[in-house]
Amino acid sequence: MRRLASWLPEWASPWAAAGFVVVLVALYALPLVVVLDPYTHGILTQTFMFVAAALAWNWLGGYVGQISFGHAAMFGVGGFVTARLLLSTDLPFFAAWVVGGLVAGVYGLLWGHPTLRLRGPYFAIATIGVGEATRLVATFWSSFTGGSSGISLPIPSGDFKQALYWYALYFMAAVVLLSYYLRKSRIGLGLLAIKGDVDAAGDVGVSATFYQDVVLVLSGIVVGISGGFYASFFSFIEPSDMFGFERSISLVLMGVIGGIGTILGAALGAVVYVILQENLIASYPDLYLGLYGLLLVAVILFEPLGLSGLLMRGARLVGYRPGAGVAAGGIGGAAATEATGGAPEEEPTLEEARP
Amino acid sequence: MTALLEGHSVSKHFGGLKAVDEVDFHLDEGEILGLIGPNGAGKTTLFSVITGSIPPTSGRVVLEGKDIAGRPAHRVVHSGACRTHQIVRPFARLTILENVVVGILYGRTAGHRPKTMGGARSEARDLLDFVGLGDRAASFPAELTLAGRKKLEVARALGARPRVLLLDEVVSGLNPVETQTLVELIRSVRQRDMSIIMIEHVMQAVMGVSDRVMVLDYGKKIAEGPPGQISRDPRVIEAYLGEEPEETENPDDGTESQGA
Amino acid sequence: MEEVTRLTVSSLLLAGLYAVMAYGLGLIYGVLRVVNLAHAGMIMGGAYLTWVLHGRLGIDPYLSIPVVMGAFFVFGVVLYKGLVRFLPRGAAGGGQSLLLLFGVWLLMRNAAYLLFSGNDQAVRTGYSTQGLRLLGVSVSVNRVAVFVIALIALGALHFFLTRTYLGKAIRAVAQNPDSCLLVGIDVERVYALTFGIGSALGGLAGLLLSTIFAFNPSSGAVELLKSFVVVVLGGLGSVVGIALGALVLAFAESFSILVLPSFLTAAVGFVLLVIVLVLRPGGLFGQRVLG
Repeated sequence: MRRLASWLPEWASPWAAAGFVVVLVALYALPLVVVLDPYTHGILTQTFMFVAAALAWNWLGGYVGQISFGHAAMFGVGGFVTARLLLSTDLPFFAAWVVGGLVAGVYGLLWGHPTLRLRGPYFAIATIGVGEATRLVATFWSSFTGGSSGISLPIPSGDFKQALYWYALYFMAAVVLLSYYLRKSRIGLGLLAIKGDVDAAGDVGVSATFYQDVVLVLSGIVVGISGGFYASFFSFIEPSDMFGFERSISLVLMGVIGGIGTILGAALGAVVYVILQENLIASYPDLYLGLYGLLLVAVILFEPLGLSGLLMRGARLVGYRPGAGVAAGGIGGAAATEATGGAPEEEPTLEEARP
Repeated sequence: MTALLEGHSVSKHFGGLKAVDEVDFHLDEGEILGLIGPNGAGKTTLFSVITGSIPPTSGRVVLEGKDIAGRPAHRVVHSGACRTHQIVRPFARLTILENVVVGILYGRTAGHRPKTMGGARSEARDLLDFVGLGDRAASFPAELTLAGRKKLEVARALGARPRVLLLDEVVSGLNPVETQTLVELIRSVRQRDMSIIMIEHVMQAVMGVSDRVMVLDYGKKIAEGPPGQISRDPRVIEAYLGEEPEETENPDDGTESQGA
Repeated sequence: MEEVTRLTVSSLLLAGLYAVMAYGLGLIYGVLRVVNLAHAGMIMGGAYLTWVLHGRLGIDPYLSIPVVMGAFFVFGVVLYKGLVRFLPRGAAGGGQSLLLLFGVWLLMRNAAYLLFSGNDQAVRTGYSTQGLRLLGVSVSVNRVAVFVIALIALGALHFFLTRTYLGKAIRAVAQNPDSCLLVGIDVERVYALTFGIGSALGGLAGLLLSTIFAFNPSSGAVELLKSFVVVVLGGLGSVVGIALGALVLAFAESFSILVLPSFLTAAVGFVLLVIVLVLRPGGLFGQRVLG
């Protein structure tokens, strides 16, 4: 383990790296070892894609503390740019995803650069506006988006769907790695400082403007690629689905259910979301918004750290004290004492007793 | 001879209020400049203008020959001036060590910061030892006493290796023993090739440490000079007599508290 | 020229509605430091309640004002006492209350969808189509009525906040809740009351909206953004600031029709927001709401 560890970049812990590789290999081999029915195969593919998107949302919502209700804008831009490229050029599909993602990232920067100087709730409201305005424009710009009738993509040969599984897996793996990098590297500390206190961060040299922009662009690129991927997966997209408010909410929900600010949380949130989507919402399509709402209210009231909060409680029951990385999660400003099991505010210390 | 840091008729107005009014100042290499004045005299506002938290209404602030007035805060830090806050503002979700690491990794320009996280951490540990928080590295700021958090604030700013360190009331609110440790700390900071401007209400501390003292009242500079001369200056005494005494525990020290 | 007069009159009339909308959001934020995303739901709900009262019971929309405002006042108080009260406020807890109230909005949307389907609705009265001439241009009676009611509501609110004991208590709490506790103001009661009044204003905005525009369960999102833009423009300080903010937004939207295709009108508010943020981060008229 120790020798392996010396190979790793500084920000990766050996145990997490080992777990990551094991899970990755298992998921890679799964369709080769077991015969998956097309439904399960498709669900897994979608789950990988949503895990990537949820992690990317979480960079902004969890690492920097800027909750976005407008990420559908980037999802849609990525999807439609990909679709148009595939329809009118000979670009290979992965190149189309990347271009779609890049355009989405640029679009994100365009609205994000001015609005990110708003903090917290105000940024959130502005993103609702961005999402709505983008949706309206997309719906009316029918020469590009096909308007309310949407556009169909060319359907590639039969084993393309099979291959998508692995593409989605690679994509997710890359995003997980990037998430760890953003969390554990120099950048991660700066983001946490911005989340904790923007002004104090500026006073020790952290440029909030620059790092928030970087995170938004990265987040936009990944969500845009997810959009392109989604377009390839379903071979048909329409603005009301791609740019819909529900699309943005689903990303918020994945982050919140899993636990804002944690990597495992966002991944778990995406898995739970797909399970809910397939089992409950497919049967009661009229109730999904209410269900989302109920979940949000319940999580915020009873466990603001979501599933990772529950896991942490469990861990504490068996005597494990989570480290600083976990305490960094959570919504908004300061709450480290709560997350680490309560450090008293003014505890007299040995140090103080010494003259 | 040019000073390390110079201000030329620096003003900051909030609507009709002249919080800082045409103030000239300078700080020489290796000097400790005390900045005193009654509450609301504009001391902290002047700090905020120097360090870029708020842009000046007019005037120039020159650090090592470069005009830094109006630059955003993080660029001022990179130019070589870093501040602490009167009301401490640690990053609550980061450990004490990580708080200092932020200062080390972000406070310096690219060529001067450690290449690895490990390097930054060991430097942060040294700084924590230096301020006397070495054994608290893994704790969270909320677990520290006020004195501890003030030391953390200083350590985080030192991480940026500024040429000019601006200390905003680091000893106020502390008991005499804690005050003494922080005063010692400030003296030893000077050995690190840094120049200091300190705002302070605790007269014993500021008069004992400063090479020179500058007095603000209603945004204007009313006096400047060696501590001994300042404490006898009639304008300074008058400015302080106009209000409640700030400091009563050392009646034998400054003229202003005797008068009050 | 005729066109300019027409747009001027219609902007002026629209500004009244915007001011009512924005005040509901701004009041709650100013006092509780909580951004009420459910405000969008209140606006939507107010429109539906008006529609039901008119369609089922035949009550004229303007006569149902006390019912609608009363209902949403109670709803707001219950929401505060039942949920919002338990959450941390201010910088640290802002995210939590934001997400919670967002959840409440989703629940309201879903409820409206189940009750009334997703179709567009509108409140049509006998005088809906009647017009009158104002400054040489013809405007609908409804728009004038909406404007007058908005003025009355804002005037009453201004009077309440500046002249009555409760109103002064609200303003005092907005400035410093801790000292209010010391002088014996029941801060919790003030919070509940404020949440109620803010919600009632949301309901009123919905009512006024329903007489002019079509609505459906997802209505309110755009109005929420507009309210926010007005608050940023006008600050939280005063009724006057909010009114000025509303005027700026209404004029910008109306006159954008001269240069922009109509579906882009929805984006005008956002563009305005960005311009203000870049040029005047402190807001146009009032105290800063950033940070």
